[in-house]
Amino acid sequence: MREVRKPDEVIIDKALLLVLMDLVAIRNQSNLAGDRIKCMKLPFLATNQMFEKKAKGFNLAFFRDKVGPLSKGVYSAWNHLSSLGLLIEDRYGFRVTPEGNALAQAIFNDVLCTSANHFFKETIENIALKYGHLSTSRIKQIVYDIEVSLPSSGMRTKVKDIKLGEDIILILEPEEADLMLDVDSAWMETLAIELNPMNKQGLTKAFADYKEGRILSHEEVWRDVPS
Amino acid sequence: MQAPYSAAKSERLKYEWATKRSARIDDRYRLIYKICEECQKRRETEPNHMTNCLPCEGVPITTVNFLDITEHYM
Repeated sequence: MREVRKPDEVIIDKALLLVLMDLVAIRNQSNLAGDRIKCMKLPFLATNQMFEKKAKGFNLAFFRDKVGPLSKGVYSAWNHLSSLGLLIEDRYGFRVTPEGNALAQAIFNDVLCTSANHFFKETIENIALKYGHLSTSRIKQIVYDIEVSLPSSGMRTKVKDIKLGEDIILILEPEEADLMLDVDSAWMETLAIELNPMNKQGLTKAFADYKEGRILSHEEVWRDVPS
Repeated sequence: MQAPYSAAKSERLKYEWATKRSARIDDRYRLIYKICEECQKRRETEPNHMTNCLPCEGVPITTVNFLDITEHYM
């Protein structure tokens, strides 16, 4: 187990977090997923259920912070998803934009609804259904009362009794997992573009150039290259 | 490009880039491109997928358009 994610794990985390936040918004019959504390605790609940089953879906490491379990990976995912226009944050919390909803639905239908990913789909759906409509304070209370196995000792402890700074969930190595989220390489490539602000902007601009006819032929490209 | 469908672990992209392909140039870079022949075939079988593709009339069917080079994971 480790604390630092690999690049493809970062992409999967962003995709799953977007799906979870979208399902919560749908559960609430709005586009509002919730405030920062709620949107941190919901992926914790999902990651914890996966971690307990040795299922490698979310790859988020959580430690005990003053307001409960916290993952730096969730912060960076919010930032990326917001800069891509898939989430927006206002004084009520994070909202899933129509673009975010469309991408989340595509990931849900094409990736999570396969038979291989049934467990991950069920877990994320259940978290959204069971907790998505609850208030932040109620979710905090539920999280504090959850018993987890500490990675350092294997001891079962309630979240509220874990000392500040201690690791609660670490990232499973593939060989430690009994089950792994299955994302085919075409979707991994697509998500690597869709969920990376620089890649998405670059390709969007390139496609706009192409549509406007700003195209160089093979000969024109090589003409200016020194031999 | 000798074998645009299979070169460098070429993958047909999904979602809004469904008419494009991604190929791994090396461990760091990927090439995004489209093949006119594939676009035309898909236009016949999946017309609803073609909103993101230009008409290829007058363009040789073997044309490959290179769109972008991006880094794999940043």
